[in-house]
Amino acid sequence: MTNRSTELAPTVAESATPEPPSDGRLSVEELWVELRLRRRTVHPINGVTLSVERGETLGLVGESGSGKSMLALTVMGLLPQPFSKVLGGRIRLGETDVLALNESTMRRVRGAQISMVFQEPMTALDPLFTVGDQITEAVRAHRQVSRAGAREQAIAMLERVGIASPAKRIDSYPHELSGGMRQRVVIAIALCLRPQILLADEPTTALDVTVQAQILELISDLQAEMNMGVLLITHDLAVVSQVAQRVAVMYAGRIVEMAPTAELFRHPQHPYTQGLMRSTLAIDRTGDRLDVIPGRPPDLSRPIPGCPFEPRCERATDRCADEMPPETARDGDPSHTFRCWHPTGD
Amino acid sequence: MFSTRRSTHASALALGAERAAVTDIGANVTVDPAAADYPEARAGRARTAEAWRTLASNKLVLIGSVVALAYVFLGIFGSMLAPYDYRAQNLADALLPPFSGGHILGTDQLGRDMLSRVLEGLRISLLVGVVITSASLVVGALAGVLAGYFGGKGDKAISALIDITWGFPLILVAVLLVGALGPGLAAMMLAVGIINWAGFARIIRGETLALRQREFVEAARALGVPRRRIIRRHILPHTIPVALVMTSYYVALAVIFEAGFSFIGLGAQPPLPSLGQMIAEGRNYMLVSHWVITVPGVTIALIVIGLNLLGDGLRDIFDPRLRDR
Repeated sequence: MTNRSTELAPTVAESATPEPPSDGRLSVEELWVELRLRRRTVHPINGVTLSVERGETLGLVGESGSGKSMLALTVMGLLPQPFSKVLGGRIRLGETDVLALNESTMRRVRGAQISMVFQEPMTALDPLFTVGDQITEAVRAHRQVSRAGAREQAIAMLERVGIASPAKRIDSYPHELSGGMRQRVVIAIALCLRPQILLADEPTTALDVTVQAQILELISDLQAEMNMGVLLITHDLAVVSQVAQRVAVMYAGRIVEMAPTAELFRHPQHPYTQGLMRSTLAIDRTGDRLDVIPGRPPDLSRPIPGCPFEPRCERATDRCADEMPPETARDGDPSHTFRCWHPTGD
Repeated sequence: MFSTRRSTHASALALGAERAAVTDIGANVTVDPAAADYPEARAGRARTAEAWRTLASNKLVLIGSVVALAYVFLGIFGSMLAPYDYRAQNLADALLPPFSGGHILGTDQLGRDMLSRVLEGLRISLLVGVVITSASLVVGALAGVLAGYFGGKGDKAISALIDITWGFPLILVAVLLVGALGPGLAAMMLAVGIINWAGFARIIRGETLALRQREFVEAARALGVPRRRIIRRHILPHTIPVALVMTSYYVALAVIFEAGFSFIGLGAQPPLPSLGQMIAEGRNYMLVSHWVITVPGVTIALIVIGLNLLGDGLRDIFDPRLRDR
């Protein structure tokens, strides 16, 4: 009896401060999310399954309102409360079920294990505080570090993200920096604790094209250095083709196609994926009118029994409207899957 | 006398709505290349310098600040500077006009030195105005931030409380409290506190709601910054400009209220001299010895006008888009 209680003691002490999940991949399984607005209930995420391995970049592509950002917020545990609810599915980081964590444990996961870079570097920084304040805040939210120690870490991180004379810049206010520099700072803040997973929600959309390339390169470099998994959310296929190893195409809260990047660009199976590619500008396509996908994404407050893309799809048949296509592998290749009754077969 | 409360509230509310966008505009300012070496130091100094320029360029604001500072200074140290005991009567020297018999502002109907009495009155006025307004600011800001940040049932409860509080006229609450506690400073201060926190709470709740949506708050959450710290560092500092502007107006309103309530005899009780009570006592002599009421009257007017000018000035500095209107 006494023997047993001494054995138990350390376990009890550990459970008082539950260890945040460590090493691992991010996996989302059959995730369903509901959003209760004042008059209607919307389903922004409908059975999404995907995973991000460490060291890998998964591009998540889709148009506005396809649920990309909602997915990121769900993973972060930052869904707007009390309006939203996870109806089903699991989100796991390594072996830990993220959705089952309580708020205080989740808080310790955020920033330290899963971090996020936002679209607007302008507004993601608090205008009242210096860059250094905002990095040290992130560090000190998770670690017991002295002010001076955190500041040193911040300077090192600023240097790492390519900010010139970081020892001076650390005392700059956000408005004193250019857009690209600000995004570098945002990245520095997000990565100062070396998270395992980075969610980058349109990290380059607000930047000049030249700066975009630099920022993407920076993210790739840091990813390799930290062996970090990156979920790159974007509507820009060009961005995805540059940095992602795999791509998931999202439409109306569903993953309609997922494949290794080169494979997807060579053999898009879903008509929506194909439409997205055709509506992208390319340098060798001058003079033509740009193709567009006719119509609009469906109203997610109504149940959609069949394929959500059916109303806009030129290949649609009666079956498409009635039955959701199952996940199908192209030529038996499990790395390339799509949901379509009438794949293009390219 | 008390009806200005609501309109001030409305203008502060409009100001609150404007605020959210303002910081964005400020943040768009680019640093000129010359300042590139040490932009941090330059920008900090430039910002302070601009605030001073804005202050100095507006003469009325300057006057307002001086009056407000003098008010606070005299309110705290005035009784030490008083040339006479404010209670000392001398019927032989009753109703002396200003600048006669060693009394700069003259004497009242009982021969008491007007200057000493005004200085003592300022102390009471400051006590009600500044102390109570500060207390209501603290309570109101806390309630507003909590309601706005956490939302849900707590927000509903606090908002309901704000609406109920706001529905009661200040004078009614004050009279009820006088009925319960008896006339005097305590009832009056309690009444101002009980009502005015709601004004602050309402504005700061609105500010917080707007700030909550800002991406930097969401970014802080995404970094795992604890809620308490987010509120302390990313919400509260952004509400300071609005709170400051409101405070200057609310102090002025409290001063008017104190004077008015003492005038009808429910506030400060003799021999404590309140500005309003001095006017009330001097009424019977005003046709022969006008200074008995003009001295406290002008004092009240100066304080209130000064505080309002200061409030306008602060608003100009914090919200450049409203300038020159």
